[in-house]
Amino acid sequence: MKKVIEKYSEPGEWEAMLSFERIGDDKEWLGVLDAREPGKYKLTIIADHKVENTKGKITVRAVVGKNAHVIIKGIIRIRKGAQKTNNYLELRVLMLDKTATAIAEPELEIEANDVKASHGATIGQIDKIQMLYLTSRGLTETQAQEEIVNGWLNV
Amino acid sequence: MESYPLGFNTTTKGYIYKAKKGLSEKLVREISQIKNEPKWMLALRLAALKQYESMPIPLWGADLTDINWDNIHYYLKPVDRVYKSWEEVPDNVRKVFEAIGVPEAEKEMLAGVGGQYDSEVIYHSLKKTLAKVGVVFLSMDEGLKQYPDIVSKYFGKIVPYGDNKLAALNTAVWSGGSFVYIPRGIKVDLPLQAYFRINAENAGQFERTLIVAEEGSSVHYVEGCSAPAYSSASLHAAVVEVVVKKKAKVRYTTVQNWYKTVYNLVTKRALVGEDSTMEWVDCNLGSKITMKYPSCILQGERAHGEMLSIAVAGESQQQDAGAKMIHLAPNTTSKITSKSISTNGGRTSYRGQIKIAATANEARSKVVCDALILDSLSRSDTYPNNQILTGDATLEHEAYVSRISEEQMLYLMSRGLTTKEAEGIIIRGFLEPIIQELPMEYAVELNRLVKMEMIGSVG
Repeated sequence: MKKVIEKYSEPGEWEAMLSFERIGDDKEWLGVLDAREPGKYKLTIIADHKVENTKGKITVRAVVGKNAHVIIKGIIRIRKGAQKTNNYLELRVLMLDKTATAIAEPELEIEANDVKASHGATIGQIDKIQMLYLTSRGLTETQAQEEIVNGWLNV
Repeated sequence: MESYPLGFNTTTKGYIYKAKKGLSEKLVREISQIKNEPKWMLALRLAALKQYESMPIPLWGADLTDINWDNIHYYLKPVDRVYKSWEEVPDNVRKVFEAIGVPEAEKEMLAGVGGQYDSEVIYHSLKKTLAKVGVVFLSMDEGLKQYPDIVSKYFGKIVPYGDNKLAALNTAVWSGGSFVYIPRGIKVDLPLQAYFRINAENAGQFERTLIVAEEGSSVHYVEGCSAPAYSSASLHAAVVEVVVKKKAKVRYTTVQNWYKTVYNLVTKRALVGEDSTMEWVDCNLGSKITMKYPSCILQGERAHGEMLSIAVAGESQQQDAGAKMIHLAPNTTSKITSKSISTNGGRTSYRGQIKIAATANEARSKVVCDALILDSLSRSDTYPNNQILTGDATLEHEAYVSRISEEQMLYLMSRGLTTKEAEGIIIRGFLEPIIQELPMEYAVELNRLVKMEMIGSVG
């Protein structure tokens, strides 16, 4: 399996295309979107399954800070005849501030039946219990948040 | 199509009024005149007609370019008035409703019944005990006559005619539909039911429904639809407006079983107040193309919106359905559960939107879409749009598309079930969470319809 990790940490616009053209293709893609700087971020990721027997896993992890605006679009496309395809797309967004906004559009376009295609999208905040644990051990709010975000982004 | 038992029709010879095909300002004026409407309604109709003519046909979603807009009768008045007992209803119309089973269901378990035949409501009844406490359940036309103040206060306010092309069309030529008013604190235990029937060929049905639930009240409104098996297209473009006041609860259930030549393009929206709940239960089995996305505008604090939907698309059908939840107030919550099945070359699409505005602090929303694709000819799509415009809101969205699991099939078949039986059980289990929310006789009907749709689908 081939795993690709892409990192984006400044405002901007990106498109990533994952093409499954050879039988047996197996690809994993992780996008880390660090939107702690204010500004606009737009990321589009497309998984295009053209032949049968391919497997993909796509994950986007994003943190969105003060006055940062994020748009994430993830598409799994399974074309006619691309049977026995398996793909899971996951969009996970952590909102750090009330002024943060996120638009998540996970799409599925499925034209074959013997497939497994699914996606999940979550948008939420830092777990208050984790924050409490760290601050009760002497970290400031900022430090605690930093630790959690870094751990979560896995950087 | 032999598996559609509601495909019969009766003659339109005795109709009181049958508009020529096509739409014109003259016709809109005529409809308003026949209905003896107040001036403001005619003005609204004419403004909507202008709007309709100026808007393009939507290019997103299903393909509507095949609709021949000039080949439709925009107004068909079958009988001269609304009847209050089934005995009075003319034979040819009554027989249709008897065949569908409407009068029977009324005796058994309904609080009120309305029946619409082409453009007009032909029958209406409401339990006396409910009428006494001020519950109103009338055709929209009667509602406008008897309660002009309430109607003018809300009509076109939740779905303005400029909202979309079909809403404009409906506002211009609307006829029939229900007007429901539930006074403060009144809880209507049994459902109110409306049954919509298209009878004429190339008919357009444009019913208009308004439901107002005052503070602390509750009601369950159920609608069913069917049409004869004509080979040429008919058009159904309804608008439904629901107002749910503080601490009130409204459930709106639809079992749509139009024949496979009907275009079903419907706008439904609810305004949901503080601490109140709006639930859409939407089952789409019939029609050639359905485009329908019932919405909740959650404008009061802690308002809750819910959507439970089933879509089944068979041969030559496209179900483009979904829901919209617009969170405007703090602590509002919403949930969408969508189940779809595509078979024999059918196409289902879930299209939905969650919008959590910057003012909707700590709002929460959950969306679950599951789809089954039963053969290699069919297609399923998921198009969600989630806009979270405040940092302290929470959203969960998941979607899953697959075929029937081999493991489950193997398990059931190893216990002696045939392929068909096993598949039937799995599909029933898949739809169960929504079917169990339906009134009993609709649940039975739905199970039967799904079974019919699945015949020959197992590969």
